[in-house]
Amino acid sequence: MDDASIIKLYFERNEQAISETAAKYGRMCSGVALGILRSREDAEECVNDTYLNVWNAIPPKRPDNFRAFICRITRNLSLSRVKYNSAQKRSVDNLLSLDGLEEYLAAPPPNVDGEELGRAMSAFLRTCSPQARSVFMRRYWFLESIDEIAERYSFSRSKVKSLLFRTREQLRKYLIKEGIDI
Amino acid sequence: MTDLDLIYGAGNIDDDIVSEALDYKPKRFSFTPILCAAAAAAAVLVVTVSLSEYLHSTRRAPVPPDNALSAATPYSTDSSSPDTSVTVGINSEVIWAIGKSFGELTERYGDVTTFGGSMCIFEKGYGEYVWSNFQNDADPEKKLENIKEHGICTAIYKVSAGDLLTGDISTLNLDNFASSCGFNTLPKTGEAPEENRLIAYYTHPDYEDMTFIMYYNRSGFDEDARFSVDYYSDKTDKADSYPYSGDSDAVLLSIDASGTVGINDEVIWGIGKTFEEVSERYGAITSDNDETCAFQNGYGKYAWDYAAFHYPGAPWNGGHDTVRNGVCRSISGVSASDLLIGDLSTVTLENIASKCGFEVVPLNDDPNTMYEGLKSAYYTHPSYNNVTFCMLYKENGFDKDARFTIKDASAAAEEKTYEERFEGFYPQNPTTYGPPMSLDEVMSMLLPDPLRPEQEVESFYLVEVVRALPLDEAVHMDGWDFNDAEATIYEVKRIKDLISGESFAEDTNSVYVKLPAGESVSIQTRGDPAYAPGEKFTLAMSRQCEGYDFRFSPCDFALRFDLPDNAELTEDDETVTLYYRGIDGPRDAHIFDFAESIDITAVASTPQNPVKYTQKADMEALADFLRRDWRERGISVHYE
Repeated sequence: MDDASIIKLYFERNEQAISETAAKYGRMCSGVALGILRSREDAEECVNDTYLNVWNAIPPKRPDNFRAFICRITRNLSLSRVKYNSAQKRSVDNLLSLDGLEEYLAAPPPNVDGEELGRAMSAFLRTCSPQARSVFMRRYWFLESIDEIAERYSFSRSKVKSLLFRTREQLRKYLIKEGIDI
Repeated sequence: MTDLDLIYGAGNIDDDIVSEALDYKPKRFSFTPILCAAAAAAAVLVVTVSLSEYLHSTRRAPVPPDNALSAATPYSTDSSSPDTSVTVGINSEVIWAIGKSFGELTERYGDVTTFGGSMCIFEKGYGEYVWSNFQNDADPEKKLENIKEHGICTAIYKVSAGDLLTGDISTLNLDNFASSCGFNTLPKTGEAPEENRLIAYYTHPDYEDMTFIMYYNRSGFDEDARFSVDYYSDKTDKADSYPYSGDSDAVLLSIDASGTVGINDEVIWGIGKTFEEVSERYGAITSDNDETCAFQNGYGKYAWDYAAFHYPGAPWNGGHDTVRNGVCRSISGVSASDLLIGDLSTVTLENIASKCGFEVVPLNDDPNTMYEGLKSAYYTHPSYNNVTFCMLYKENGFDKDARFTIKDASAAAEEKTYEERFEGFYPQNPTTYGPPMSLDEVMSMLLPDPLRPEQEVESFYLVEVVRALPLDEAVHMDGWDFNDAEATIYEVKRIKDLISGESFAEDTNSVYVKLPAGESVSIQTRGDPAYAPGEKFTLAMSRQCEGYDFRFSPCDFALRFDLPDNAELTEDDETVTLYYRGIDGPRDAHIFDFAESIDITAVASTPQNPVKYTQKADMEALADFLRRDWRERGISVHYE
């Protein structure tokens, strides 16, 4: 079923919308959640919460990009779950493998407007090659490890690291130019 | 900006970028780094197999027709093997491909879904199939055509354990793996740090001429293990025939097992391309050091003829206009994993030539020339006539850290003169003049300076240029300072010591000297044309100092007299006449009383930027003058 039809079901408050969403994007959501949480159990709960959140969000929302919309909800829920787990001292071992993610969640957010930063990052990423952009997104949006990205794209580890380094450096310069100080 | 800032900001990145990342699949030009890495991840294994085992595992490939089965199982299928410990078999359907033609594989495994280098993936195949015995071609389409016509499958990479092994593999562990599968374990192990896997090597009595390499997780064997099957891996010297010729096709007798590691065409592509073409393909410049620059998606540092023209009146630290001209002459710093396609874990210094199809270029003098602690080796490749490969490797041999410099070796590049190299820059390079200097000012630069002991004068020489080092080579020399880019290092032969009067024997006096005037070779077109090989000039030269691969030429420009054999000057055959030349120096000062003032414009190495000579003198008169002058000023010569 195409996205427009699924969204139509949400607007009709037809519960088939959820099963269609799960059929089409369940695996994707699981991948996103598992990539962040590293726990199948937690990931499964997050994916179920994703469906509920989508159900509550549509209507009134009518996302232009349904897939990214769901993905974003899963990411946010997963990060919240990590924060919760961290606070509850749960799954410490898992959290430790997340390259300081718990530190991110424990610390106050950077002193910059998230939307403004996101807009600037989007604008910058549009100037990058698809390859660099996707590797960057895999690292910082999907929070995949260097090894996972290398495996996903069949790149060498060093290539992934190099791409990320270059992209970060260029982004840093771009943000400075845009007057965003982080 | 930390990773955490980026994670925070990424949450608000636009949906379409998220979508793109979800869908992104790397472009595969020709097994560029994508399949390089994939190939490096390959591993292998083989086991005896029975026909029933063969039939047991046709999970993806269609069951071949009856008449194909006999051809598909050219190996021993002796089901009466006395070794009852062998509980897991090999899927002969997987191994079947070794030695087969492209047509046979497409018939069995369907269309090619990905192709590059010398490997391809089939719709219903089991991994990445490596081809040999075909005529290489830089054009991927032509190469595929050649493979279709002549290619023979010599290896299969990235075969999953589930595809290769038949039977209950859940009972396998690292300890019982070899015995359960009937393998002999080779006394060799390896590591694939990029995949965080370990490597084990096996042979099998029924497949004498094959090596099987297993890449497995550090925790031990599991279903995630991957294999590659490599015909004659590490045994390329024996590969003069192909034993599994059960299909009767004579073509099987000509397998060239040396093709097990291929060259990534995509890396070579940059050679001979313009700056614009390369930047269009590889994106933004990420680092820029005069003649070389690196690109976002490139494979190393690319070199063109380069010039930074200075506009009159502009400050020297600004007002430059960078121009890159001609075609890419070299790509340096290319990683082994980017250049070579295949399982690099099997490559050694000893077998790299045979495995990659390289021809070794013998080194004349020092086969172990060291660059930053690395050794070098030079290769050519019959399929890439336009380039040479220089490999820098660690003292203990080839490994994944080896780096290559690929140079344009085409006839056009070889024969290119300095004039041709710089042709594209003209006429933007007017000769410039600096303020006149007095003789005292000039000579004071030769006085001993405790702060610059490395520039202590050895003597004043007449030298002949052997070559000017390109920047990408010069920067590897001990003593080179990136902050001091305003220099060119020349390899010169000392012809005569004008202070002592001693002449040098041929081939015993080649030294490197760093000339402080003129910046890089190409920038010298601006005001001080670069010396071409064979040209002769004078200079004060420092001693060889520890920590420096080259010598210095203090007050170089102020004591530079040319012996312009090739310039359009009339020279008295009976006396050796030198012509005074300089840059930003006392060109018009006529500082040498004994010399005759002249006003000659001469065509030197760069015809559109002629040299101006303002004085001339007999070489002997110059030598006499300097001997006397230096003695009076306390300028000492210090021979080794």
